[in-house]
Amino acid sequence: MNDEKIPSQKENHQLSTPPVILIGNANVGKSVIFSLLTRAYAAVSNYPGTTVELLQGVMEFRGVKREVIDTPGVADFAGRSEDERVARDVVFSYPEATTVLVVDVKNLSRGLYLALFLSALGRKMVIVLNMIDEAEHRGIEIDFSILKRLFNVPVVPMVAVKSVGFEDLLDAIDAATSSSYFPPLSSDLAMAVSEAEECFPLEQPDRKGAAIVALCAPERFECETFDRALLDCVDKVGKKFCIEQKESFPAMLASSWMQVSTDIAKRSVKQVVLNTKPAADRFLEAIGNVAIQPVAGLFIAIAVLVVMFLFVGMFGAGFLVDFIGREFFDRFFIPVVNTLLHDAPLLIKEFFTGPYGVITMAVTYAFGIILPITTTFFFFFALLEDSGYLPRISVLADRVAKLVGVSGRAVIPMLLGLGCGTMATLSTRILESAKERFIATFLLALAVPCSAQLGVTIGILGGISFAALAVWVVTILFFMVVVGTFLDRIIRGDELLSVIEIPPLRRPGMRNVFLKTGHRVSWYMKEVLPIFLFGSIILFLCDVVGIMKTINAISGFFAKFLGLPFESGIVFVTGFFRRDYGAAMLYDLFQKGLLSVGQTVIAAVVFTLFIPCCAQFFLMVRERGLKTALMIATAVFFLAIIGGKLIGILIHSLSLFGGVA
Amino acid sequence: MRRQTRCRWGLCRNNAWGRSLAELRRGEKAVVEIVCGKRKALLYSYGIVPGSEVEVLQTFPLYVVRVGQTELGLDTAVCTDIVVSEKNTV
Repeated sequence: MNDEKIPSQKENHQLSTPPVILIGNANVGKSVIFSLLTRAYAAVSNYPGTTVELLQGVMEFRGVKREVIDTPGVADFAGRSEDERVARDVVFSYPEATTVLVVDVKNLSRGLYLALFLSALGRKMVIVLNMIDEAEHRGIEIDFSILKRLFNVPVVPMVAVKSVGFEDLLDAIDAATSSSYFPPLSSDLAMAVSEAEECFPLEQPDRKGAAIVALCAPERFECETFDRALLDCVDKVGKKFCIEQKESFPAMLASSWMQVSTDIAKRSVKQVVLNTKPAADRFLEAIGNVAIQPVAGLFIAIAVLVVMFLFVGMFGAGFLVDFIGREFFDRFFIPVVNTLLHDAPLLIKEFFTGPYGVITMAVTYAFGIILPITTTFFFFFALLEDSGYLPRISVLADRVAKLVGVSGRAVIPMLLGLGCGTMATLSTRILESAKERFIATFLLALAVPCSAQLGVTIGILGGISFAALAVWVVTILFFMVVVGTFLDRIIRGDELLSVIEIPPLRRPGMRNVFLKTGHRVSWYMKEVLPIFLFGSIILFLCDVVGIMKTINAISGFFAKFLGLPFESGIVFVTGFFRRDYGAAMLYDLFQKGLLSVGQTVIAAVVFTLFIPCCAQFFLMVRERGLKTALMIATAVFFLAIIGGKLIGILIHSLSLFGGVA
Repeated sequence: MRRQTRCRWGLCRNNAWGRSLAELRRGEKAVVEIVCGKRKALLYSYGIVPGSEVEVLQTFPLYVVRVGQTELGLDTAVCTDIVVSEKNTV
């Protein structure tokens, strides 16, 4: 993903006009406006080197095609997390672009705060005052002329969901100009800004604005945007400012400019208090409020998870997997392959259709099992994302998450990990501190079972008894908490300070949901499946060369140590290359009666705690470096063995499930 | 009433009058006096600025406050960095 080129730049050569960038606070309706502008064509792509998904499309107006980019919602340009950084970098990388600043009229001052930065940067700008109808419901009346006169840019009132004001927006984008307004700076701020300006080369467009934004967080600027020396120079100015003023530059700027934008907002609003909202809104609002309450919220969260598992488990893993397996692979694909290979030499046959064959193992696995499961999971996850529910889970879980050294935000990668641990490891980038990212990566590797494994494990243990399932769940959670707490203690890092914006709940936009699902599934096919293919080739080679016996012996030794039958050792090795295949082998052993109930529980615990699949391991190497990845893998390996042994001793000494033997 | 807030940076240390947001109860409204700490700039950009009115919607598991039309989940550490005064009742 790192070497992926941003598609927009390629397309930009074809579309000679500079792009249109949508920018604004979270939940102001940017995506709706994006959909309106780009009815014909839209795609999701990742911003280079990030996990942040950017919606990109093409709009056409009066025969001119222009690219449109939708950026993640931001509160300012400080770039605290990866998505905020991307929003800022997109604005920086297209100085010629027209920025469409979408403002929720109900939150005028917050939106105009961004307008101040865009004005300072000299960007061509259109201000969209969205949700003007809701504002009217609440008795807020806006005097547009004040904004128009002050910023000297087009101001368009809109109700984007009803496409009210859309024609005006098109005209405005066409006629957009740079604002002639430069927000006031106090003498202290101005001095620092002009010092920082000296760091920038003369050809830098709008040096003053660039200096202001860079001063807000020099250490967080991507080095591609500005070089290291420049940022060090800006950093020095910032540090000097902080010492002299006993206040950081961003904080002082924020306090002064927020005052400015609040003043502008106050001047342009004639407010009459009158609180009527449409009934549908009130219903969603009520649910949204309940969803963050400690008890009711927890029940809602559990209900959402249950629905997710039912949907992914029954529809994805059940119906779709069966259907594709039966209708496509059994009826058509496997017979065709067998016919084609009828006269081939034995080794070739083995390579494709043997017990570790590329086709039987890798292809059927990829398209017959993983594709339907991950697609349904990603679809459900995109629904949750788009509805604005996920931050509510972060709020609920923040306290508990802090016990293990991560903020509530980390719950989102953990949830994603229940679908695919590899993608979840990648998404730990949304976390703000290195410590949090490390702990989250570790816990994902240790204790979060992915969808390929979860279904089978729940199936086996649930089939035995509720107690077996409960022992498994409690053990996994226990390890998560103990290991997390331990890591929190030994790793140094800044205090976690949670500020979580809770957006209103809304009906998900299905176009976005489908676009996102499609994007993630294709990412999965490109990034994860080749690794599994590679893994099954390795297994095949081991089998041919005869190393498999050695591996068997070693893994069998560990199995014996855990009080499991010798044959079960190979399950864990296979599980590394193919998560669900390991789980299926486990199921097989259990069906054949080779495992007692107690042993099944032990095996399930070890299997869950054990090093995740090879894809996740490779991603850990890429994201955290080889040394850290190896360290995590080793630690997880021993923790899994210890976990299995402990649970074995517990089961034995309490004679749960009739003991181990 | 003078209370020590946990403010580390700048002005707040010497001006810690009044209550912190963390001392408010559910349903209470107050006016923001001073914001400090590491999250200052972020809180400002969300509209938690001196003079703005905040309403505490709930206090557990996180503080949930409404400022303008924005709802924010804040942990106790962040709340103690926000000094508030009673809302003037007319």
